[in-house]
Amino acid sequence: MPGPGTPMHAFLRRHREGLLLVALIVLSLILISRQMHDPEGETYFRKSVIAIMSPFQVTVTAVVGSVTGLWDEYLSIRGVKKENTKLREEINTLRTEVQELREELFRAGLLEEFAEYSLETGLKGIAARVIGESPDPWTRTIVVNRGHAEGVRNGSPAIMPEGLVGRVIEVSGHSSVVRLIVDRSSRVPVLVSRSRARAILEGENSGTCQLKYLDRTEDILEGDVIITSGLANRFPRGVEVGTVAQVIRKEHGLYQYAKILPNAPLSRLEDVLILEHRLPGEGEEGQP
Amino acid sequence: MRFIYFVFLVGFVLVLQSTLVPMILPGWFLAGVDLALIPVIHFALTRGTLSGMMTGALVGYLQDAMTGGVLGINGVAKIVAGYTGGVLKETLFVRGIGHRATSVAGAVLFSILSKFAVLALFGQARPSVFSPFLLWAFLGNSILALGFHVLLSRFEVVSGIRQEEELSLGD
Repeated sequence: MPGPGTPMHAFLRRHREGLLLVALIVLSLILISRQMHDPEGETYFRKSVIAIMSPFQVTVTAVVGSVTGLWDEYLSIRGVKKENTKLREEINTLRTEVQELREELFRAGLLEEFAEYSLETGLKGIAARVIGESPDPWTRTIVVNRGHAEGVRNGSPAIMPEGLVGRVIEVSGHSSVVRLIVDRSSRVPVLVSRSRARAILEGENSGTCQLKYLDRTEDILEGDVIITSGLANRFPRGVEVGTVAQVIRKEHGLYQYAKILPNAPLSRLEDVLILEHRLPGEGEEGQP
Repeated sequence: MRFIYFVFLVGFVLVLQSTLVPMILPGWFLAGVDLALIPVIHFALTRGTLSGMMTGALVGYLQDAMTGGVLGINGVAKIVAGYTGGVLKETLFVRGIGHRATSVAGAVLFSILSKFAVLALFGQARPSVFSPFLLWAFLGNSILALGFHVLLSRFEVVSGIRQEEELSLGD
Protein backbone atom coordinates (compact mmCIF):
# COMPACT_ATOMS: atom_id res chain seq x y z
CA MET A 1 0.00 0.00 0.00
CA PRO A 2 1.61 3.32 -0.99
CA GLY A 3 2.22 5.77 1.86
CA PRO A 4 0.41 9.06 2.29
CA GLY A 5 1.61 11.90 0.11
CA THR A 6 2.95 9.69 -2.67
CA PRO A 7 1.53 10.19 -6.19
CA MET A 8 0.14 6.68 -6.12
CA HIS A 9 -1.74 7.42 -2.92
CA ALA A 10 -3.15 10.59 -4.41
CA PHE A 11 -4.19 8.68 -7.52
CA LEU A 12 -5.86 5.99 -5.46
CA ARG A 13 -7.68 8.60 -3.37
CA ARG A 14 -8.84 10.48 -6.44
CA HIS A 15 -10.01 7.41 -8.28
CA ARG A 16 -11.04 5.36 -5.29
CA GLU A 17 -14.62 4.83 -6.39
CA GLY A 18 -13.76 4.14 -10.01
CA LEU A 19 -11.13 1.62 -8.98
CA LEU A 20 -13.54 0.01 -6.54
CA LEU A 21 -16.09 -0.25 -9.34
CA VAL A 22 -13.59 -1.92 -11.61
CA ALA A 23 -12.45 -4.23 -8.82
CA LEU A 24 -15.99 -5.25 -7.92
CA ILE A 25 -16.91 -5.84 -11.53
CA VAL A 26 -13.77 -7.85 -12.20
CA LEU A 27 -14.38 -9.95 -9.08
CA SER A 28 -17.96 -10.50 -10.12
CA LEU A 29 -16.92 -11.51 -13.61
CA ILE A 30 -14.41 -13.96 -12.21
CA LEU A 31 -17.08 -15.40 -9.95
CA ILE A 32 -19.48 -15.68 -12.84
CA SER A 33 -16.83 -17.29 -14.96
CA ARG A 34 -16.09 -19.83 -12.24
CA GLN A 35 -19.76 -20.72 -12.01
CA MET A 36 -19.89 -21.26 -15.74
CA HIS A 37 -17.36 -24.05 -15.30
CA ASP A 38 -18.73 -25.27 -11.97
CA PRO A 39 -22.48 -24.60 -11.71
CA GLU A 40 -22.65 -26.23 -8.28
CA GLY A 41 -20.17 -23.76 -6.77
CA GLU A 42 -21.01 -21.18 -4.11
CA THR A 43 -23.86 -23.33 -2.83
CA TYR A 44 -23.09 -22.49 0.77
CA PHE A 45 -23.70 -18.80 0.18
CA ARG A 46 -26.89 -19.49 -1.70
CA LYS A 47 -28.19 -21.88 0.93
CA SER A 48 -27.42 -19.40 3.71
CA VAL A 49 -29.22 -16.55 1.95
CA ILE A 50 -32.22 -18.70 1.19
CA ALA A 51 -32.30 -20.01 4.76
CA ILE A 52 -32.23 -16.47 6.15
CA MET A 53 -34.76 -15.01 3.71
CA SER A 54 -37.23 -17.88 3.45
CA PRO A 55 -39.02 -17.28 6.81
CA PHE A 56 -39.68 -13.68 5.74
CA GLN A 57 -40.82 -14.84 2.35
CA VAL A 58 -43.16 -17.39 3.93
CA THR A 59 -44.61 -14.71 6.24
CA VAL A 60 -45.10 -12.14 3.51
CA THR A 61 -46.52 -14.74 1.15
CA ALA A 62 -48.99 -15.86 3.81
CA VAL A 63 -50.05 -12.29 4.58
CA VAL A 64 -50.30 -11.31 0.95
CA GLY A 65 -52.03 -14.59 0.15
CA SER A 66 -54.69 -14.06 2.78
CA VAL A 67 -55.19 -10.45 1.70
CA THR A 68 -55.46 -11.40 -1.96
CA GLY A 69 -57.68 -14.33 -0.95
CA LEU A 70 -60.02 -11.95 0.81
CA TRP A 71 -59.90 -9.60 -2.14
CA ASP A 72 -60.62 -12.44 -4.58
CA GLU A 73 -63.50 -13.54 -2.40
CA TYR A 74 -64.83 -10.01 -2.31
CA LEU A 75 -64.51 -9.73 -6.08
CA SER A 76 -66.16 -13.09 -6.51
CA ILE A 77 -69.05 -12.06 -4.25
CA ARG A 78 -69.35 -8.84 -6.18
CA GLY A 79 -69.32 -10.81 -9.42
CA VAL A 80 -72.00 -13.19 -8.16
CA LYS A 81 -74.10 -10.27 -6.96
CA LYS A 82 -73.75 -8.54 -10.30
CA GLU A 83 -74.62 -11.74 -12.14
CA ASN A 84 -77.54 -12.31 -9.82
CA THR A 85 -78.90 -8.83 -10.54
CA LYS A 86 -78.43 -9.38 -14.26
CA LEU A 87 -80.21 -12.75 -14.12
CA ARG A 88 -83.06 -11.26 -12.12
CA GLU A 89 -83.43 -8.54 -14.74
CA GLU A 90 -83.44 -11.19 -17.44
CA ILE A 91 -86.07 -13.20 -15.55
CA ASN A 92 -88.24 -10.11 -15.21
CA THR A 93 -87.85 -9.32 -18.90
CA LEU A 94 -88.69 -12.90 -19.86
CA ARG A 95 -91.66 -12.96 -17.50
CA THR A 96 -92.96 -9.79 -19.08
CA GLU A 97 -92.43 -11.26 -22.54
CA VAL A 98 -94.21 -14.49 -21.54
CA GLN A 99 -97.08 -12.46 -20.11
CA GLU A 100 -97.30 -10.39 -23.27
CA LEU A 101 -97.24 -13.49 -25.43
CA ARG A 102 -99.93 -15.13 -23.32
CA GLU A 103 -101.98 -12.00 -23.69
CA GLU A 104 -101.46 -12.00 -27.43
CA LEU A 105 -102.39 -15.68 -27.56
CA PHE A 106 -105.49 -15.02 -25.56
CA ARG A 107 -106.46 -12.12 -27.79
CA ALA A 108 -105.74 -14.18 -30.88
CA GLY A 109 -108.02 -16.88 -29.55
CA LEU A 110 -110.71 -14.35 -28.78
CA LEU A 111 -110.44 -12.76 -32.20
CA GLU A 112 -110.70 -16.20 -33.74
CA GLU A 113 -113.84 -16.77 -31.72
CA PHE A 114 -115.20 -13.43 -32.90
CA ALA A 115 -114.40 -14.33 -36.48
CA GLU A 116 -116.12 -17.71 -36.15
CA TYR A 117 -119.08 -16.09 -34.50
CA SER A 118 -119.31 -13.53 -37.29
CA LEU A 119 -119.23 -16.32 -39.87
CA GLU A 120 -121.86 -18.36 -38.07
CA THR A 121 -124.25 -15.50 -37.41
CA GLY A 122 -123.52 -13.28 -40.39
CA LEU A 123 -123.01 -10.38 -37.98
CA LYS A 124 -120.12 -8.11 -38.82
CA GLY A 125 -118.25 -6.04 -36.36
CA ILE A 126 -114.92 -4.88 -35.02
CA ALA A 127 -113.07 -6.20 -32.05
CA ALA A 128 -112.50 -3.65 -29.30
CA ARG A 129 -110.46 -3.87 -26.17
CA VAL A 130 -111.87 -2.77 -22.86
CA ILE A 131 -109.75 0.12 -21.63
CA GLY A 132 -111.82 1.31 -18.71
CA GLU A 133 -114.88 0.93 -16.57
CA SER A 134 -117.34 3.36 -15.15
CA PRO A 135 -115.93 5.28 -12.22
CA ASP A 136 -119.50 5.62 -10.89
CA PRO A 137 -120.74 2.57 -8.95
CA TRP A 138 -124.32 3.50 -9.86
CA THR A 139 -123.78 2.86 -13.52
CA ARG A 140 -122.36 -0.19 -15.30
CA THR A 141 -120.53 0.97 -18.36
CA ILE A 142 -117.21 0.16 -19.98
CA VAL A 143 -114.91 2.16 -22.25
CA VAL A 144 -113.50 0.47 -25.34
CA ASN A 145 -110.63 1.51 -27.60
CA ARG A 146 -112.64 1.83 -30.79
CA GLY A 147 -114.53 4.93 -31.77
CA HIS A 148 -115.94 6.91 -34.61
CA ALA A 149 -112.71 6.68 -36.60
CA GLU A 150 -112.93 2.88 -36.58
CA GLY A 151 -116.58 2.82 -37.61
CA VAL A 152 -118.32 2.62 -34.24
CA ARG A 153 -121.64 4.44 -34.15
CA ASN A 154 -123.91 5.45 -31.34
CA GLY A 155 -126.30 2.57 -30.53
CA SER A 156 -124.02 -0.18 -31.90
CA PRO A 157 -124.55 -3.45 -29.99
CA ALA A 158 -121.59 -4.95 -28.17
CA ILE A 159 -121.48 -8.70 -27.90
CA MET A 160 -119.27 -11.63 -27.07
CA PRO A 161 -119.57 -15.13 -28.49
CA GLU A 162 -121.10 -16.14 -25.13
CA GLY A 163 -123.80 -13.50 -25.27
CA LEU A 164 -124.93 -9.90 -25.40
CA VAL A 165 -122.79 -7.35 -23.59
CA GLY A 166 -124.50 -4.03 -24.07
CA ARG A 167 -124.85 -1.08 -26.37
CA VAL A 168 -122.70 1.89 -27.34
CA ILE A 169 -124.08 5.07 -25.80
CA GLU A 170 -121.24 7.50 -26.43
CA VAL A 171 -118.73 7.63 -29.28
CA SER A 172 -115.61 9.74 -29.59
CA GLY A 173 -112.71 9.64 -32.05
CA HIS A 174 -110.99 6.49 -30.91
CA SER A 175 -113.04 5.27 -27.98
CA SER A 176 -116.59 4.54 -27.01
CA VAL A 177 -118.69 4.00 -23.92
CA VAL A 178 -120.76 0.82 -23.80
CA ARG A 179 -123.68 0.50 -21.43
CA LEU A 180 -123.81 -3.06 -20.12
CA ILE A 181 -127.05 -4.99 -20.03
CA VAL A 182 -126.81 -5.14 -16.23
CA ASP A 183 -126.95 -1.31 -16.01
CA ARG A 184 -130.13 -0.08 -14.41
CA SER A 185 -130.92 2.06 -17.50
CA SER A 186 -130.53 -0.82 -19.93
CA ARG A 187 -133.63 -2.16 -21.71
CA VAL A 188 -133.36 -5.07 -24.13
CA PRO A 189 -136.34 -6.64 -25.96
CA VAL A 190 -135.95 -10.39 -25.52
CA LEU A 191 -137.57 -13.76 -26.07
CA VAL A 192 -137.64 -16.92 -24.02
CA SER A 193 -135.93 -19.17 -26.51
CA ARG A 194 -137.98 -22.30 -25.72
CA SER A 195 -141.51 -20.75 -25.50
CA ARG A 196 -140.90 -17.65 -27.65
CA ALA A 197 -142.54 -15.52 -24.92
CA ARG A 198 -141.66 -11.84 -25.26
CA ALA A 199 -140.40 -9.62 -22.45
CA ILE A 200 -138.07 -6.76 -21.61
CA LEU A 201 -134.75 -7.33 -19.89
CA GLU A 202 -133.72 -4.65 -17.42
CA GLY A 203 -130.43 -4.29 -15.59
CA GLU A 204 -130.18 -4.35 -11.82
CA ASN A 205 -126.74 -2.77 -11.48
CA SER A 206 -125.57 -6.00 -9.93
CA GLY A 207 -124.44 -9.13 -11.72
CA THR A 208 -127.97 -10.03 -12.81
CA CYS A 209 -130.87 -8.67 -14.85
CA GLN A 210 -134.60 -8.85 -14.41
CA LEU A 211 -137.06 -10.10 -16.97
CA LYS A 212 -140.09 -7.77 -16.97
CA TYR A 213 -143.41 -7.50 -18.71
CA LEU A 214 -143.69 -11.22 -19.21
CA ASP A 215 -147.32 -12.26 -19.29
CA ARG A 216 -148.07 -14.43 -16.27
CA THR A 217 -149.60 -17.05 -18.53
CA GLU A 218 -146.37 -17.48 -20.50
CA ASP A 219 -144.30 -20.59 -20.10
CA ILE A 220 -140.93 -19.95 -18.48
CA LEU A 221 -138.72 -22.23 -16.42
CA GLU A 222 -135.45 -21.95 -14.63
CA GLY A 223 -132.64 -22.72 -17.03
CA ASP A 224 -134.46 -21.35 -20.05
CA VAL A 225 -132.25 -19.43 -22.44
CA ILE A 226 -133.10 -15.79 -23.14
CA ILE A 227 -132.30 -14.34 -26.57
CA THR A 228 -132.75 -10.94 -28.20
CA SER A 229 -136.03 -10.49 -30.03
CA GLY A 230 -134.79 -7.98 -32.59
CA LEU A 231 -137.74 -5.72 -31.94
CA ALA A 232 -137.21 -2.01 -32.58
CA ASN A 233 -133.95 -2.87 -34.34
CA ARG A 234 -131.96 -2.18 -31.24
CA PHE A 235 -130.19 -5.52 -31.24
CA PRO A 236 -129.84 -8.25 -33.83
CA ARG A 237 -132.31 -11.05 -33.46
CA GLY A 238 -131.38 -14.31 -31.77
CA VAL A 239 -128.32 -13.26 -29.80
CA GLU A 240 -128.11 -15.15 -26.53
CA VAL A 241 -128.44 -12.92 -23.50
CA GLY A 242 -128.63 -15.10 -20.44
CA THR A 243 -130.22 -17.93 -18.56
CA VAL A 244 -133.23 -17.90 -16.23
CA ALA A 245 -131.95 -18.29 -12.67
CA GLN A 246 -135.24 -17.77 -10.84
CA VAL A 247 -138.89 -17.29 -11.82
CA ILE A 248 -140.92 -14.90 -9.65
CA ARG A 249 -144.65 -15.21 -10.02
CA LYS A 250 -146.63 -13.12 -7.55
CA GLU A 251 -150.21 -13.95 -6.49
CA HIS A 252 -151.56 -10.81 -8.07
CA GLY A 253 -150.67 -8.85 -11.17
CA LEU A 254 -150.59 -9.28 -14.93
CA TYR A 255 -146.93 -10.18 -15.25
CA GLN A 256 -144.43 -12.57 -13.90
CA TYR A 257 -140.71 -11.84 -13.44
CA ALA A 258 -137.49 -13.73 -13.69
CA LYS A 259 -133.91 -13.26 -12.59
CA ILE A 260 -131.54 -13.66 -15.48
CA LEU A 261 -127.87 -14.50 -15.28
CA PRO A 262 -126.08 -12.91 -18.26
CA ASN A 263 -124.10 -15.36 -20.39
CA ALA A 264 -121.27 -12.92 -21.14
CA PRO A 265 -118.68 -12.57 -18.37
CA LEU A 266 -119.57 -8.93 -17.73
CA SER A 267 -117.47 -8.51 -14.61
CA ARG A 268 -114.25 -9.51 -16.39
CA LEU A 269 -114.59 -8.26 -19.90
CA GLU A 270 -111.41 -7.73 -21.84
CA ASP A 271 -112.50 -7.65 -25.47
CA VAL A 272 -115.87 -7.22 -27.10
CA LEU A 273 -117.20 -7.27 -30.61
CA ILE A 274 -118.88 -4.01 -31.64
CA LEU A 275 -121.42 -4.84 -34.33
CA GLU A 276 -122.09 -2.65 -37.33
CA HIS A 277 -124.70 -0.17 -36.44
CA ARG A 278 -127.03 -0.86 -39.35
CA LEU A 279 -127.98 -4.47 -39.12
CA PRO A 280 -128.60 -6.36 -42.35
CA GLY A 281 -132.17 -5.87 -43.48
CA GLU A 282 -133.00 -3.65 -40.55
CA GLY A 283 -133.72 0.07 -40.41
CA GLU A 284 -132.68 2.89 -38.11
CA GLU A 285 -131.75 2.25 -34.53
CA GLY A 286 -133.85 2.99 -31.53
CA GLN A 287 -132.57 4.11 -28.18
CA PRO A 288 -131.71 1.56 -25.49
CA MET B 1 -30.77 2.85 13.83
CA ARG B 2 -29.33 3.54 10.40
CA PHE B 3 -28.01 0.02 10.13
CA ILE B 4 -31.36 -1.47 11.12
CA TYR B 5 -33.08 0.79 8.61
CA PHE B 6 -30.63 -0.27 5.90
CA VAL B 7 -31.02 -3.97 6.62
CA PHE B 8 -34.78 -3.65 6.84
CA LEU B 9 -35.03 -1.76 3.55
CA VAL B 10 -32.79 -4.16 1.66
CA GLY B 11 -34.52 -7.22 3.13
CA PHE B 12 -37.94 -5.72 2.58
CA VAL B 13 -37.49 -5.03 -1.14
CA LEU B 14 -35.95 -8.45 -1.73
CA VAL B 15 -38.77 -10.25 0.07
CA LEU B 16 -41.36 -8.15 -1.72
CA GLN B 17 -39.68 -8.77 -5.05
CA SER B 18 -39.92 -12.50 -4.46
CA THR B 19 -43.41 -12.57 -2.95
CA LEU B 20 -45.75 -9.66 -3.61
CA VAL B 21 -44.60 -8.64 -7.08
CA PRO B 22 -45.17 -12.08 -8.68
CA MET B 23 -48.62 -12.17 -7.12
CA ILE B 24 -49.85 -8.84 -8.37
CA LEU B 25 -48.08 -8.33 -11.68
CA PRO B 26 -48.69 -10.36 -14.82
CA GLY B 27 -45.70 -12.05 -16.47
CA TRP B 28 -44.41 -9.47 -18.90
CA PHE B 29 -44.64 -6.58 -16.42
CA LEU B 30 -43.31 -8.76 -13.65
CA ALA B 31 -40.19 -9.61 -15.60
CA GLY B 32 -39.33 -5.93 -15.97
CA VAL B 33 -39.91 -4.75 -12.42
CA ASP B 34 -36.84 -4.85 -10.20
CA LEU B 35 -37.56 -3.53 -6.72
CA ALA B 36 -34.00 -4.29 -5.69
CA LEU B 37 -32.90 -1.20 -7.62
CA ILE B 38 -34.80 1.01 -5.17
CA PRO B 39 -32.42 0.90 -2.19
CA VAL B 40 -29.36 0.86 -4.45
CA ILE B 41 -30.32 4.03 -6.29
CA HIS B 42 -31.71 5.65 -3.17
CA PHE B 43 -28.51 5.14 -1.18
CA ALA B 44 -26.41 6.21 -4.16
CA LEU B 45 -28.33 9.46 -4.43
CA THR B 46 -28.43 10.20 -0.73
CA ARG B 47 -25.15 8.73 0.56
CA GLY B 48 -22.92 8.85 -2.48
CA THR B 49 -21.15 6.56 -4.94
CA LEU B 50 -19.43 4.31 -2.44
CA SER B 51 -22.63 3.58 -0.51
CA GLY B 52 -24.43 3.05 -3.78
CA MET B 53 -21.88 0.55 -5.02
CA MET B 54 -21.66 -1.37 -1.73
CA THR B 55 -25.45 -1.52 -1.44
CA GLY B 56 -25.56 -2.58 -5.06
CA ALA B 57 -23.09 -5.39 -4.48
CA LEU B 58 -24.96 -6.65 -1.42
CA VAL B 59 -28.41 -6.42 -2.95
CA GLY B 60 -27.30 -7.84 -6.29
CA TYR B 61 -25.58 -10.86 -4.77
CA LEU B 62 -28.46 -11.53 -2.39
CA GLN B 63 -30.82 -11.30 -5.33
CA ASP B 64 -28.76 -13.76 -7.32
CA ALA B 65 -28.60 -16.13 -4.39
CA MET B 66 -32.35 -15.95 -3.81
CA THR B 67 -33.19 -16.53 -7.44
CA GLY B 68 -30.83 -19.47 -7.71
CA GLY B 69 -29.17 -17.92 -10.75
CA VAL B 70 -25.54 -17.28 -11.52
CA LEU B 71 -24.03 -15.31 -8.64
CA GLY B 72 -22.76 -11.95 -9.84
CA ILE B 73 -25.01 -11.09 -12.76
CA ASN B 74 -27.35 -8.95 -10.71
CA GLY B 75 -24.34 -8.07 -8.59
CA VAL B 76 -22.65 -6.35 -11.53
CA ALA B 77 -25.89 -4.68 -12.61
CA LYS B 78 -26.56 -3.25 -9.14
CA ILE B 79 -22.94 -2.21 -8.58
CA VAL B 80 -23.09 -0.26 -11.86
CA ALA B 81 -26.45 1.22 -10.85
CA GLY B 82 -25.07 2.37 -7.53
CA TYR B 83 -21.96 3.82 -9.12
CA THR B 84 -23.86 5.62 -11.89
CA GLY B 85 -26.45 7.01 -9.48
CA GLY B 86 -23.71 8.32 -7.18
CA VAL B 87 -21.60 9.83 -9.97
CA LEU B 88 -24.59 11.50 -11.58
CA LYS B 89 -25.70 12.81 -8.22
CA GLU B 90 -22.30 14.39 -7.61
CA THR B 91 -21.97 15.65 -11.18
CA LEU B 92 -25.43 17.16 -11.38
CA PHE B 93 -25.44 18.34 -7.76
CA VAL B 94 -28.74 16.57 -7.31
CA ARG B 95 -31.31 18.47 -5.39
CA GLY B 96 -34.24 19.27 -7.67
CA ILE B 97 -36.64 16.64 -8.88
CA GLY B 98 -35.43 16.97 -12.50
CA HIS B 99 -31.84 16.20 -11.60
CA ARG B 100 -32.94 13.36 -9.38
CA ALA B 101 -35.06 11.93 -12.20
CA THR B 102 -32.09 12.17 -14.56
CA SER B 103 -29.80 10.45 -12.06
CA VAL B 104 -32.32 7.70 -11.39
CA ALA B 105 -32.95 7.15 -15.11
CA GLY B 106 -29.21 7.04 -15.76
CA ALA B 107 -28.63 4.55 -12.98
CA VAL B 108 -31.45 2.31 -14.21
CA LEU B 109 -30.28 2.53 -17.79
CA PHE B 110 -26.70 1.60 -16.98
CA SER B 111 -27.88 -1.18 -14.71
CA ILE B 112 -29.92 -2.69 -17.53
CA LEU B 113 -27.14 -2.23 -20.06
CA SER B 114 -24.53 -3.80 -17.77
CA LYS B 115 -26.77 -6.78 -17.02
CA PHE B 116 -27.41 -7.19 -20.71
CA ALA B 117 -23.67 -6.97 -21.42
CA VAL B 118 -22.78 -9.57 -18.77
CA LEU B 119 -25.42 -11.96 -20.08
CA ALA B 120 -24.13 -11.45 -23.60
CA LEU B 121 -20.53 -11.90 -22.46
CA PHE B 122 -21.25 -15.27 -20.88
CA GLY B 123 -23.66 -16.37 -23.59
CA GLN B 124 -26.66 -16.42 -21.30
CA ALA B 125 -30.25 -16.07 -22.48
CA ARG B 126 -31.30 -12.43 -22.78
CA PRO B 127 -34.02 -10.35 -24.40
CA SER B 128 -33.53 -8.82 -27.82
CA VAL B 129 -31.96 -5.35 -27.87
CA PHE B 130 -35.02 -4.08 -29.70
CA SER B 131 -37.49 -5.77 -27.39
CA PRO B 132 -40.07 -3.44 -25.81
CA PHE B 133 -39.32 -5.34 -22.63
CA LEU B 134 -36.09 -3.37 -22.20
CA LEU B 135 -37.93 -0.09 -22.68
CA TRP B 136 -40.52 -1.17 -20.10
CA ALA B 137 -37.80 -2.25 -17.71
CA PHE B 138 -36.14 1.14 -18.10
CA LEU B 139 -39.28 3.26 -17.78
CA GLY B 140 -41.01 1.16 -15.12
CA ASN B 141 -37.98 0.85 -12.88
CA SER B 142 -37.06 4.52 -13.32
CA ILE B 143 -40.52 5.60 -12.21
CA LEU B 144 -40.53 3.14 -9.32
CA ALA B 145 -37.03 4.06 -8.15
CA LEU B 146 -37.72 7.79 -8.39
CA GLY B 147 -41.05 7.50 -6.57
CA PHE B 148 -39.59 5.44 -3.76
CA HIS B 149 -36.52 7.65 -3.57
CA VAL B 150 -38.72 10.70 -3.00
CA LEU B 151 -40.80 8.86 -0.39
CA LEU B 152 -37.79 7.41 1.41
CA SER B 153 -35.98 10.77 1.41
CA ARG B 154 -38.97 12.40 3.03
CA PHE B 155 -39.32 9.54 5.49
CA GLU B 156 -35.64 9.68 6.47
CA VAL B 157 -35.72 13.41 7.07
CA VAL B 158 -38.98 13.23 9.01
CA SER B 159 -37.85 10.26 11.11
CA GLY B 160 -34.44 11.78 11.78
CA ILE B 161 -32.49 9.00 10.09
CA ARG B 162 -30.87 11.58 7.84
CA GLN B 163 -30.50 15.30 8.29
CA GLU B 164 -30.30 16.63 4.82
CA GLU B 165 -32.05 19.13 2.70
CA GLU B 166 -35.65 18.40 1.79
CA LEU B 167 -36.42 17.56 -1.75
CA SER B 168 -36.77 20.64 -3.86
CA LEU B 169 -39.33 20.48 -6.63
CA GLY B 170 -37.41 23.00 -8.72
CA ASP B 171 -34.08 22.34 -10.44
